[in-house]
Amino acid sequence: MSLTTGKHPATDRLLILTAVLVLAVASGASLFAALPDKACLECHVAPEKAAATPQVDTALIGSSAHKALKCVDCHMDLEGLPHAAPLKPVGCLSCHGERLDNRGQTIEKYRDSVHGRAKEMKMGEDAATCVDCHGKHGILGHLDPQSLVYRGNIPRTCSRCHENNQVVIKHDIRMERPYLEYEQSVHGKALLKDGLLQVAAICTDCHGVHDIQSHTAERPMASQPQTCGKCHIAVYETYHSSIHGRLHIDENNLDSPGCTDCHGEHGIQSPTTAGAPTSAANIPKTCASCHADATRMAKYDIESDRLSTYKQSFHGVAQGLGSENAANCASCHGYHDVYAPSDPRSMVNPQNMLETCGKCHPKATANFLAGKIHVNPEQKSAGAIYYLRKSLVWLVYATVAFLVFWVGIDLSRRWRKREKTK
Amino acid sequence: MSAMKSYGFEKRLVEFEGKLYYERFSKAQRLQHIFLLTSFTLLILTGIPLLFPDTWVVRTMFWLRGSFTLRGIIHRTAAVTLLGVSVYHVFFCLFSARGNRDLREMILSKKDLIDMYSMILYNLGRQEGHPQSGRFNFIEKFEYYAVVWGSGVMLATGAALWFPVHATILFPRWVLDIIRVIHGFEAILAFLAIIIWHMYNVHLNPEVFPMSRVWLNGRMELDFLRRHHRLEYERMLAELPPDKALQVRRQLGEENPAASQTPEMESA
Repeated sequence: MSLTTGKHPATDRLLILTAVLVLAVASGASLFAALPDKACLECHVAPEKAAATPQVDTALIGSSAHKALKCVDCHMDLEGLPHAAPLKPVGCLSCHGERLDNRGQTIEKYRDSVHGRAKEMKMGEDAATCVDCHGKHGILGHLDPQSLVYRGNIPRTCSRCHENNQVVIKHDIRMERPYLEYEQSVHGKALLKDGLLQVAAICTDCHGVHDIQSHTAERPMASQPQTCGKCHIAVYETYHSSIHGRLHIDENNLDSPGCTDCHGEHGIQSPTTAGAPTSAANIPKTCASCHADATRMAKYDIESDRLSTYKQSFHGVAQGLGSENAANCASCHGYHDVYAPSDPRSMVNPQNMLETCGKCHPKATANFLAGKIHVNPEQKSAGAIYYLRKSLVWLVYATVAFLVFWVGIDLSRRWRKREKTK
Repeated sequence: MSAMKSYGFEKRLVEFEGKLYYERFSKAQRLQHIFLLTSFTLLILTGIPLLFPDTWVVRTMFWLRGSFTLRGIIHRTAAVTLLGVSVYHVFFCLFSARGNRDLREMILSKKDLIDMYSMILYNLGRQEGHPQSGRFNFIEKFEYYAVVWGSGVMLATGAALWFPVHATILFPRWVLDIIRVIHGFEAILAFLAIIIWHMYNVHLNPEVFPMSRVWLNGRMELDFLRRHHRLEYERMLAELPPDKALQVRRQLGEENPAASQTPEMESA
């Protein structure tokens, strides 16, 4: 089919002219787009020019995910050869921008991420761009074990900047040694030691991938229980039903702890590991970080002497001195499943107490439940025990006074007699 | 009194390396004392720290993993030992001639209170000469009752704390809170009584410093008996066969009967 009709010569001429012009412009551009790599490589694979020209490893490109692309597919700002000034950084988003990353987010969201914004704000070369995480000519798919963004390599890739003190201090990044902590954590060990590639949480699982946000953002992903809940599904459900989860998730009340408040962040440890904030040795301290805070507890009408009274109990004394089977907060109140004592699901609900105490004290009877649990004999609230203790303290003082008096006068007599016999 | 006479002073007068001594404690009594002091020391060491759990010293004591469990095992083993020696002591007092007789000597009388009062006056320099005691002076009697009472309280309260579930068959659990306070304070009082009252009066006072050896060999110097347990000494002389009594007086240089009349109380 012909575009020209032959009926209107003037119009036809105009059409032809236009076509020629359009073709000329288009072919000029496409001519350039079709510039063979050979032309580039004349300089960029030329050892004799290495001093003035950056050299390119063609083997690296040849084994990369972009092996089918030509130089100019990425280096799009090339306007003629030879070019003097260094080319601009490549813009990956023109091809990849609308693709979805493996969190289902468009890669374009990078622009609004902490890294993207840092780049916008001209934080110089420290702001991570595509190439900092993905590499340049040797770029590989994320499923390739050699790739910088392969699951098993991501923590180390992130650590290249985040363990670099110059970067971390210069930009006031909150975590100074996230990789070192992560390496020792239950997640880090699962990945690096046990090779649980798909189940061990890596940086991007908690922080996001291209849409990564700063800790100063409102509710960054890594602090949300939902994030942990992606893998810890059953725990999340239990926690969500607890008093802490209900307030934290449903009411967005950050007075109530989320996962990281008790478990920690990068250095997260199993409760069976010594030193973990959730270990038997540290549970009271961890719970007390909120529950001994009088102002916070007053808001919810909870007494803030739970830790001090616990420490007065035999459980607390034994726990404090390293007993591993002494009851701690979680032994009686639960951990993910903490409910208000008035809740029938609570382990310390009067209806469940016998069973709860019975875990350690089998055959306990109803008598075993009679009386307050959190008692501090040093406080008036302890009632009769307070006064008993007070009087015994005075009895001790009186005894000491009498004994000192007794020894004193005995010694003084001996001294006097000694003087006399001299 | 006839029963007492069958166990007379002849048996209490023992000869060692050519010298006569008064046998203060029999072997059975010395063994009881050793069991008592061992269990008491262990109980104090493994118990008192629990009253001060937040101090540096105590935390250091328990730095080793599992040490708290070991503490419990030692504490309860020592408690069972104390219970054992206590039960033995009851039988000893009831059924052995010596135990029975010593127990009778332990009975408190008004004289003990008067003695204490007069001892204080004497120590303050308000009175010449100190009270004269029998086999056991008021200091020793008070201490004996303190040990009996203390052991009873500690064994009873300790048992309740050891077996809380069984204890709460008898009473509600809040009583255990009271019991724990009592157990702790009685421990402090017992500790103070031993470390000050007993140690000073028996071992650390300048006269016997650093230690009386009676608890080891059971022998008391006759001179010490005469000075500190005058009434017992006199009763012994009265009850001993005359030749033995003379031997005693001779050893103490008392051939002149007048000498025995002057109370010579103090040594430098």
